[in-house]
Amino acid sequence: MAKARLAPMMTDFNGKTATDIVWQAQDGWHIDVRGLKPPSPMMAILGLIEMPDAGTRIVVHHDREPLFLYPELAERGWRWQLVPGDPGEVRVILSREAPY
Amino acid sequence: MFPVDISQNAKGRLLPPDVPFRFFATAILFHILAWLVLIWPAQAQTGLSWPVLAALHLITLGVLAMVAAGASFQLLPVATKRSVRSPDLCRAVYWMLAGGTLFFTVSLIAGFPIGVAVGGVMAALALVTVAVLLADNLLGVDDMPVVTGHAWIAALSLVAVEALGGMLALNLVFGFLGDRSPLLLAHGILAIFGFMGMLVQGFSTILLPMFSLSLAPSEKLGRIALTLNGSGLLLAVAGALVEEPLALSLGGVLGLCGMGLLAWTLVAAFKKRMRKRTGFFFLPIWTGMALGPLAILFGLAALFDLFPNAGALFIWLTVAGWLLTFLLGVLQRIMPFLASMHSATALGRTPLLSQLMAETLTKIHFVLHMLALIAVGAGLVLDHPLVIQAGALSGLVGALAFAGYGFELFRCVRRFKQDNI
Repeated sequence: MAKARLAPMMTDFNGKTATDIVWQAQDGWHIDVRGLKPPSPMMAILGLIEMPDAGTRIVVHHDREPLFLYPELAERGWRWQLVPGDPGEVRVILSREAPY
Repeated sequence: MFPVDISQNAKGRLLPPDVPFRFFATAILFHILAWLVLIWPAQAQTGLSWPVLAALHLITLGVLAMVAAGASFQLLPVATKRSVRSPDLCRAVYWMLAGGTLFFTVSLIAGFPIGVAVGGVMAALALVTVAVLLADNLLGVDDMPVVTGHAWIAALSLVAVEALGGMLALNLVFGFLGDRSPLLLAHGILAIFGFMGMLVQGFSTILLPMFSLSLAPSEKLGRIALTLNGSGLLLAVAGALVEEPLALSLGGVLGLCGMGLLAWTLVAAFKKRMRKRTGFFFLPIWTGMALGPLAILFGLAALFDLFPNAGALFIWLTVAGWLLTFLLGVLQRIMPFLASMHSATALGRTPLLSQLMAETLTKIHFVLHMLALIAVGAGLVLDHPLVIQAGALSGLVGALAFAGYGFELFRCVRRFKQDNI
């Protein structure tokens, strides 16, 4: 559902669509924004966390630490944690602070 | 819980907070000083007298260049994914720029040519170092051509500005130049449109979409704007040096088109933003952007002597109307953003932006700033010193309100850190 609602926003992300970069796994939603030019990564991530069925945990696969994203996450009641990822990848776990 | 790994890339691109914030805090102080100099009773005279020149350089060097340097050191590496070579060098730049600006402007007011030369050379060295650091960071970066293209023009213009500025400052002591006016005009064009103008336009294509949560503006149109801006600058500077009004005016028209096109792409992107409620923040931004093309129009009017004191109005609108209004608008957003990022705890919490921004103080500043712009501009055109002083008084109170905004931000961050130890 989140992927479908995200789709209208995703058609301009450097030619990529929602199905290209968002998928659901056992540990929650994943979003891969590597290769997207600023500010597309931030917009895609915020678009996903604002979906009602985004859940409480999102794994972000990025190529740079999304420093400018953090204040926006705090405003929306989300926390972040950097975790080890693949070589060249910056992996960030986002978790919702307030229950929904 | 997963261990926090803060060793990965971008933390290395986030400078220690004292680096950007010393530039911003000093810019706020110089902002106050600039209006104070303009209001001083002994400065009740119009035209480019020494005290007015001092106020102008307090704005250009003390506020605009100071903010540009601090913001560039912090923002460019985050965008280019390459660290600044040396935070200590950034700190050294700060001391040279702050000290040089103070020495330069105090010496201008006191009528002390050797001091002007020394201060000017110090500030020039600082800004050339900024240009070198920017260029070093831009080398090999091939994405974001609109940003990097404008930044390259800014860096090269800065070198030229300081070369000309250094010559003009030394000429005060040694008097080796004949007619200085072509060099003065070229220096002004390169400083305002080449360095500051290009940096502002380039960074606005990242900052405005980021702050409004909109997609990046059209890169294709951005490249066209870059070409117009670059060729306009080249023509204008060449026209200034050889004293050819046609080249100057054509350069102005091209710059006007470039500026207008870039602004149009930003407005188009803004209309499709995610953040629907942008609050008060964007008002100084759009106001500043609108005053840029208007300033160029007055510049063209001055070129053809269409009305008295058009030249002074052109300089005022460009420096204080366009650049100062825009940069202060950006600063009031960048400071809480950076403060929030630097205050992040190991558990992934940051202070809320909405709690860090004392919007009332920024509204007070904006209203008084606009009144000051209008009054000083009117005073310059009408040749009325008292109107200029009244405008400067409004600007001074506005600057104090802006300083209050900065102080309130500092207080909120300190409280957050104490609450989250």
